[in-house]
Amino acid sequence: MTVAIGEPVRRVEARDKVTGGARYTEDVRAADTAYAALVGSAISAGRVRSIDARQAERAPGVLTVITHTNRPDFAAQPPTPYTAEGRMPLADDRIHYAGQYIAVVVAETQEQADHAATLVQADYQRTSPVPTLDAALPAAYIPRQNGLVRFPSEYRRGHAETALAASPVRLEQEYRTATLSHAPMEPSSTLAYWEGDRLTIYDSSQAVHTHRALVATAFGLPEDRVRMISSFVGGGFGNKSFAWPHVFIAPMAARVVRRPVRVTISRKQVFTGTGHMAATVQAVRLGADREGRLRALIHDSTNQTSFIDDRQEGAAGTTPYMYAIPDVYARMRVAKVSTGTGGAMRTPGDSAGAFALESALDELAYKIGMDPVELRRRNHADTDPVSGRPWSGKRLLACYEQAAERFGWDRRKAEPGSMRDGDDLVGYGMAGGQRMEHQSRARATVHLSDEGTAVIRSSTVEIGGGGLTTLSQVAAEGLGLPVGAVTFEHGDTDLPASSPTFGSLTSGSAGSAVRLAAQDALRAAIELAVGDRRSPLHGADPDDVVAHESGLRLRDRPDRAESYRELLRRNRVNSLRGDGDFQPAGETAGYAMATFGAHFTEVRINRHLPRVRVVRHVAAFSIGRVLNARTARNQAQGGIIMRLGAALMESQRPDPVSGRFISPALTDYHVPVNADIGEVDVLFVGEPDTNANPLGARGLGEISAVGICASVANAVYHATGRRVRSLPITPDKLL
Amino acid sequence: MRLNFTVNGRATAVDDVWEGESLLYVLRERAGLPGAKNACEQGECGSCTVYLDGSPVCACLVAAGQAEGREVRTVEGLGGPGRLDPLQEAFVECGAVQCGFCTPGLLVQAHDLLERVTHPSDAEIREALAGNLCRCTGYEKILDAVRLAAERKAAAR
Amino acid sequence: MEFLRPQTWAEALAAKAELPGAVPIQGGTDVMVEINFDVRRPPALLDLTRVAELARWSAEPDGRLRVGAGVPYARVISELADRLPGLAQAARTVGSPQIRNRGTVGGNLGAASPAGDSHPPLLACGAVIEVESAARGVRAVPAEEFYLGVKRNALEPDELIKAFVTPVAGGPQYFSKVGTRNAMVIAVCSFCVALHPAERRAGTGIGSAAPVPLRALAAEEFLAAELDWAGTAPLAPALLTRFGELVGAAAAPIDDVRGTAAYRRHALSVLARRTLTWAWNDHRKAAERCA
Repeated sequence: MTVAIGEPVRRVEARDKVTGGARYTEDVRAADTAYAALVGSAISAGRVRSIDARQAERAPGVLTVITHTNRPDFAAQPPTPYTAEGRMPLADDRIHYAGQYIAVVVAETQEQADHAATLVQADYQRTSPVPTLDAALPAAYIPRQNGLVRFPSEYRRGHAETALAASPVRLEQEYRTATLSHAPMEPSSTLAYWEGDRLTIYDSSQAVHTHRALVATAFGLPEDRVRMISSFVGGGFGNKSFAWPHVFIAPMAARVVRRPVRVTISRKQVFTGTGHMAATVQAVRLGADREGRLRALIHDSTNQTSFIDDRQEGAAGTTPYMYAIPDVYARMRVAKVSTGTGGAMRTPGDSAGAFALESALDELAYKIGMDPVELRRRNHADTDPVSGRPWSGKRLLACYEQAAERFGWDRRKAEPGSMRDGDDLVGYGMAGGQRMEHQSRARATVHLSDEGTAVIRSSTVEIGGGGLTTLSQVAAEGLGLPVGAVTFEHGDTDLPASSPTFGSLTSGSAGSAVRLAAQDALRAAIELAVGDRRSPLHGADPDDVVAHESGLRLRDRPDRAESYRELLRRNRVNSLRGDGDFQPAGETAGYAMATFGAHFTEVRINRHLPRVRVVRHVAAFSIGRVLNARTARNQAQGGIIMRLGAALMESQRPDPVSGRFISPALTDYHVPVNADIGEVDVLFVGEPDTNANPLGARGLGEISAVGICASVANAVYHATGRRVRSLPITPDKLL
Repeated sequence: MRLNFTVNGRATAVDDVWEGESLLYVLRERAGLPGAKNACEQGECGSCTVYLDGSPVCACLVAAGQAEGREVRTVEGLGGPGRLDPLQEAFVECGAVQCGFCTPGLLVQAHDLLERVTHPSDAEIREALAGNLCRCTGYEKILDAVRLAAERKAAAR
Repeated sequence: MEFLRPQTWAEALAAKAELPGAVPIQGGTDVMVEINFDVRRPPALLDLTRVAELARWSAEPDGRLRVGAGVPYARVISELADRLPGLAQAARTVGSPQIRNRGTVGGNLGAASPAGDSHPPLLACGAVIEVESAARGVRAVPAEEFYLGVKRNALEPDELIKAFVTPVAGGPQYFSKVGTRNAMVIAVCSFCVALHPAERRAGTGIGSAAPVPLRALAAEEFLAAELDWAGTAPLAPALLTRFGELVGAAAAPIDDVRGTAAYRRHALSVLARRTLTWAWNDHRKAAERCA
């Protein structure tokens, strides 16, 4: 009757989503709403000399045009990283990237605002842009620590240069990753209205409590005067983890026109105005002995950043933790390009970093004539090489083994170009992946009612990962209820503050909060029962009472039981409340925590007209306890396919002169379509990892997208003998 | 201008339609049917797919005036009152829904496929759904759902 | 903005004459994108979806087919695949099913994008585009004279595209296209070959590899001279290679986000060899059956 955690139960919100009933931010309506259109800069570097908004102001329906010359002041600059840019919108006349907002047109209808936006005339004073990462590289530097520089920019153990020089086998290569766009299907939308000094914001946000604090700071309000609601989010992938400029523009404009204002950014502005994964150039130097034992590793990454911010794409951040190598040096620099500030995109740092490192390992494997899986096994880090601590539930070796077996890796012929099928060159490749596990404070309440139902209240946001379902399962199991008896109030700052829905925090942190809340509610129910003379459980030791089939019973005496419904009604208690407040154990836990994965890919490439087709991909993950087998498989396939896009087609190319994105549109920023995808199989090797947290679960969303690009590139090498070190692997690179 | 059309079986008239407006805008903002989603405005993603006189189209590319006197059916009109279409059921059952933003368009497009083809092959399903982007990329479960719905619809025939 | 709804072709021509700035709209796949993105705001939209004449196709007395500019790709595929196989194959690669339900060859001609999928088969088949104005009546423009530049065509401001007229396929035709993914692609480059055995020649069309869609004339001349129409032997590798080279040389590609010029030339050569091989194999089979 009770559905255990891990079962593939149906999504709790699926019915709403298949009937068109699920409300996303752009579906929310408020009376008397005015609409804003955002005018982007046509140049990528310089100043706005003047803006002529007269024609726009005279256009039908226009209420106001706001520019840097007439905007109201913000109270303060809220902190990065969750304020995406370290500069408030319309702050001054300076232009840092093409598409940067220079004016806001507010009108009665969206069409009127959009049209008037085309009538705004800007006179620019241009300066020389830095268009590309290559142009910026000579001026790359180590950034100062700030909100957007999360890892130390340098890491050192031993003497990597010396050890490298002494290594019998050496390898030195440079790898490049392209600028990538999250391209969620839902363009970000914000609807803001003021009631006196109270502000309500509907926003397609992945983290309502995090973002509310920023908005409150910007407008000089105590947090409790601001309510932020994010009902359903149409895809995030990190894109909506940050408050981008439009989030601050909507309340500002609403204050000016004294009406609710909606800002829905255009598809183009999704590309230019809500971040991207910054391009990287990464030098990797490996030293090893002939038996494949790694002796030295130098990983030197430089990523592009904006002229507004120093934002690190932490491509070498996980490198020191990955393999048992005595001498390691990692460095992460930034280089300023006339582009917007990047953001975290599934999976920040590690997706780009793994491409370089796992490609280099493959190159080394061929160089010394060793199976790439065996090379990784020999250098497996049994304990965390950085802290020396034991890993909490690392089963990476099982990932290699099980995924290799499922894939049929033993059929691989070692020689590149040796496997063919008609006109197709066939290639097998593999790579590993690792993501350090993060945790965050998270709160939730669970109300157990006299109907025998429960309500979870927590501000977590459903972005597609299935959190509402898995957390409902957690509460249901904790209270011995069917999942259908659990409902969820979510995505609203009026609810207890959950962890943000990013950084793979939901399962571990939000899940633990719900578990604690359910346990607390159960404790209250048990207390009520054992103290109630009319209860069959009266006088029992609370430790002997367990949840069972929508009620309580003695662990060893099934006959001494009663339902929550009877218990609460008899005691005239409408509901019992349980509170959960998960506090990460942090450094004190004594364990190092990460998630791990192994990927195996088969590619086929026509030898006359080369284009890489991924026909098969098998991945195995070590993530502790899997909360829902179905949503987990689906989410992992999504992470893999998203990265197959990065491997083969996705690239936001900068104009070589101005640095603006050449084609910020889905017509040319190609993401994989249904017809591109072969078989993608996913295995989970983990068991509950209760060192990590009370629930035993670690994150999945991010680790699922680490290592795929290298696995594909390695398979391409195996098929063709051609090593592609620059993503994406487009057909022209195989000519 | 005024626009008269039938939507989900109901005769509907809306006023003050701008001549350059899309059918998608009319449905979402004037007819109270936000199921079809506005995601790219250029026919690249399929999130706004609706039936127009029985053929699935991108509502963002249909000028409102072109729908005058025509019949439109949206995701809201696929099932009956309080009842899901077997395809919607199958999407729920198979876990073919993630963030859900592409789902309404996918459902209309897949619904059309099953109206035309009783037992679609995997290649036919992929081909039919090629214009419906899903960035969560739950393509496997979507295929499962369409196959399941096809079986059930065939059995019910 | 005005929204004009002519019910007949005569009404449509009259409306266009009166308001030459009116933009004809059929499937909306180009026009609505421009309006949605506020790239342009024409004085009027001229909705041609109610003009019944445009949605028909018929056989001409001389045996050629006249296909109305409003026939959507979906119907080209379902109704004309046997008579215009090259065009039907191209239509299958257009956008998505939703786009094919609405988009038309007429719209493709109106937009005149070098990447439009209809153009190579129209060129290879020797199609003629019929355009008409209220003032001057009908003009018949051969496809190769219709494309003037990137997104520019031979249409006068008061003219509308009425139909294209093309011979029914007298031999095998093959269209092939390269994209960066398996569906929903704008062509990186495309190619169509149409064998005309009765005339002992082959027609070609190249897409997305020059400012305008074009024929590979030298390659056509080469085939006319070299192909042994009476024989049933497979094509010699050297002939195929040379044909591929000539097709590649006919193009004038550029580097852009969709592909490099070098890749386009290479891919065109491969497409040319492939499509000609398929077409010739069909031709041989047909010849063997007749023999």
